[in-house]
Amino acid sequence: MAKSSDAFLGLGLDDALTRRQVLQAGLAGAATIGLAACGQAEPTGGGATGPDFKVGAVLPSSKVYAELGTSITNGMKLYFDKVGNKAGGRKIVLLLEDEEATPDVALAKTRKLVEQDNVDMIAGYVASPDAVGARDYLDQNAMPTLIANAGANVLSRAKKSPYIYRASFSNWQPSHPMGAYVAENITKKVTLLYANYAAGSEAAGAFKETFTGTILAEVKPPLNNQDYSTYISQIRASKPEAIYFFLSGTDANNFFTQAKQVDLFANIKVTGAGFGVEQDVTQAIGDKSPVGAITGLHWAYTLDNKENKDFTTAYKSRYGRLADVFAMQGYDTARVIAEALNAVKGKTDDKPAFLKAIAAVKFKSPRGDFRFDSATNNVVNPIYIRELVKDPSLGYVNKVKTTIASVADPGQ
Amino acid sequence: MLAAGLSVIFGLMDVLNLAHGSFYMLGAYVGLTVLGVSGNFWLALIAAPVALGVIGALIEVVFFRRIYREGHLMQVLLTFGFTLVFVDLIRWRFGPQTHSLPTPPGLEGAVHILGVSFASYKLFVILFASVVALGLLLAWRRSRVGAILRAGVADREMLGLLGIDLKRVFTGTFAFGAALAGLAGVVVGPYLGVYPGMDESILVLVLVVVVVGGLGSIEGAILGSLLIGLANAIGPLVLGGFEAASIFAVMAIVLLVRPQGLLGRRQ
Repeated sequence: MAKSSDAFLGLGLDDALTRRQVLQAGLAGAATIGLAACGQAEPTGGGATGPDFKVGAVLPSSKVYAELGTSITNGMKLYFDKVGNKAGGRKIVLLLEDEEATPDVALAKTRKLVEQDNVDMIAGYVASPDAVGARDYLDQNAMPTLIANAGANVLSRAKKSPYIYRASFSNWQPSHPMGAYVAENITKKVTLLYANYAAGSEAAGAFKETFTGTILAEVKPPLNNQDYSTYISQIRASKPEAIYFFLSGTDANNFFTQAKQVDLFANIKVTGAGFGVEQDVTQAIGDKSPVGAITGLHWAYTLDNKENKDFTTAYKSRYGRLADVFAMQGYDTARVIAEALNAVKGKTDDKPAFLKAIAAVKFKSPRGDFRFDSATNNVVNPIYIRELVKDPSLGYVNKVKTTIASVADPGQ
Repeated sequence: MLAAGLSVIFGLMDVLNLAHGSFYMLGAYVGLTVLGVSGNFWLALIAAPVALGVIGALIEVVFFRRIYREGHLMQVLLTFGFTLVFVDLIRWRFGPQTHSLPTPPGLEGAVHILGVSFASYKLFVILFASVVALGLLLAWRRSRVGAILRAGVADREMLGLLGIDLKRVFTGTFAFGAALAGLAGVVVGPYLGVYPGMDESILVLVLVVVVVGGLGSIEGAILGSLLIGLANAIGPLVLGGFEAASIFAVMAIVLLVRPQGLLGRRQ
C-alpha cells in the first residue's frame, strides 16, 4: 500500500511518510478511480452547458426494503428520463449506492458519495434509522439532501436540518387524520397492531392523538416478523370491532396471509396506515388482500388527476407493473431536484440560493398539491382515506373515500 | 427439516454450511416456478427437493470436495459467498418483489377445534413435518444408510477403513441436506411468502436450533426445533417486546448446562 502510494504521488521519501499521509494518498487514488469510473458511465447528451449535476441516491437494493428501494429508483429514473436528464442547463447524473437496511452501511455509502464521487446532492433513504443516522453528517457537511421515504417524525422536529428536505411524508401525517375518522365512521373499539420500531409507534401515537374511542390492546410484533399466530391470538382475545395497523413490506404480506387463513377478519374491520395495502403487497398476496380495509395515505393508485394518470400509465408501460406509493415518492423527489435546478438556472454554487429554490418548489404531483412547509422542511400534501377494492381490470387497488387537504406535520 | 439437514451435514462432514438458507430460498423459487408452469402444488413439492438435491450434489462435487481440509474459515467464506451469489441470481431472475405460493386446494380455510381456529394449511404443515421427522428418525435409527451416517458422525476415518466410499457418502449427505432445505422452502411458501432475503431470515433461527439440539443428531434437530418453536410462540405473550430474547435465552441456558447441545455428542 505504502509503496504504491509513493509511486502514485511520485514521492521519493522513504521513511518520512506518516500513516495519515499514506491514508490521504490512498483516498486520493480511490477518488480518482471513482471519478474515472463515473466519467465512463455518463451517457453523452447534447444541449447541457454547465458541469454535470450529480445526484447521489442512497437506496436499498438488497435486504428487507429492496422492493421499496427499487420502486423509488424506478420512479426517479422515470421522471429524469421524462425531462431528458437535464434541468437548468445541466445534465443530471444519478449515482446509486445500496443503503441495505443498516444505518452504518447507509452512512458509509453517503460518505463515499460525498467524499469520493463529489456529488452535488444526496437523495434517498428508505429506513428511518438510516436517515437519522446520516443526518448529522449531512448537516455538518451542508449537503443539500432530499429524503425519498424515511418517515421518522424527528427529522421534521428536533433533528430538522436547513439542508435536509423531505419529499415523502412524516409518520405522523397518514395516521393522524385516521384516528378521528375511525372513531366517527367505523367503531370506538379498536386494537392497535404495529411493527415495534420507530415508524410503527409514531404512527400509533398519531392515531391516538385524534381517536376518541377505547384502545383495547396494543399488539407489537417485532419488525421482520415471520409467524403471526401468537399476535393473531392476542388480537382475537382483545375482542375489537376493528384493528388499526402499521405494517409494511413482507411484514404486511405475512400478517394478511396468515390472518386470512384463520378468517380473522370475519367480524373485525381493518383500518390502518396505507403502506401495508399498497400495490407491492396486494400484488404479492393476491386474494389474501384484506378487501374493504380503510387506510390513510398521501396517494392512491386510482387518484383521478392528470399527473397521476400520466405517471401510472408511463410506469406501467416501462416497468410492466403497477406503480406504488414509493415509486410516486421517487418520481416527486426527482421532480423537486429538476424544478430547483431550473429555478436557479443550474447555478448551484450559491448554496443558500439553491436551498431556497428547493424550499420554494411547488407543483401538481400525482398525489395532489405538493409544497414544502418552511417550518419543518417537510412536504405538505393531502391525505386520502381510501378503501381497498378489487377492480376488474387493475386487481386490488385503493379507491379514495375522503380527502383531507394539506396535512402538515406539527413540527413538535 | 432445515435443521436436520444442516445438523447432519455439519456433524458428518464437519462443514459449516452458511448456504443452507440459500437452498431453502432456492427450493421456494423452484416451487414457485413449477407451480407457475403446472399449477400443481404437489408437483412443486416433489420437484423442489429433487432439484435442490441435484444442485447440492453438484456444489459438493465441484466446490466442497476441494476444501474439506482447509478448515472452517475457508468453508464459511465459500458458503457465505454462495449466499450472496444465490440471492443476487434470484433477484436478477425474479426481481425483488415478494411472491406468494397459493394455498393448495382443500387447505384454504380454517378448522375450529374447541372454539379455537387453526388454519388448515398450518395443520397440514405440522402433520407433514411430523411425518418427515418420523421418517427421518426411522431412517436414521433403522436403515443401513442411517447406520453409515451415524458411524460417519462418530468416526469418519474408521468408516473409510471399513471400505465404505466416503466420497459418495459425502455427496449423498450434502445433496440430501440440500433437498430437505428445498422441501422446507416450498412448504412454507403459502405461509411466509417467497422473496429474496428469506434465506437470511431463516438461517439464524436454524443455527440456533442446531446449537440447542446438538450437532450431528437428527433427534437433536427435532427436539431443538420444538423447543425454539415453543419459545418463539410463548415468548411474546410472557415477555411482550422480548421475542428475540426468549429464543436466545433458551440457547444460552442450554449452552451453559450442556455445551454440546441437548443431544449432541461430546467432543
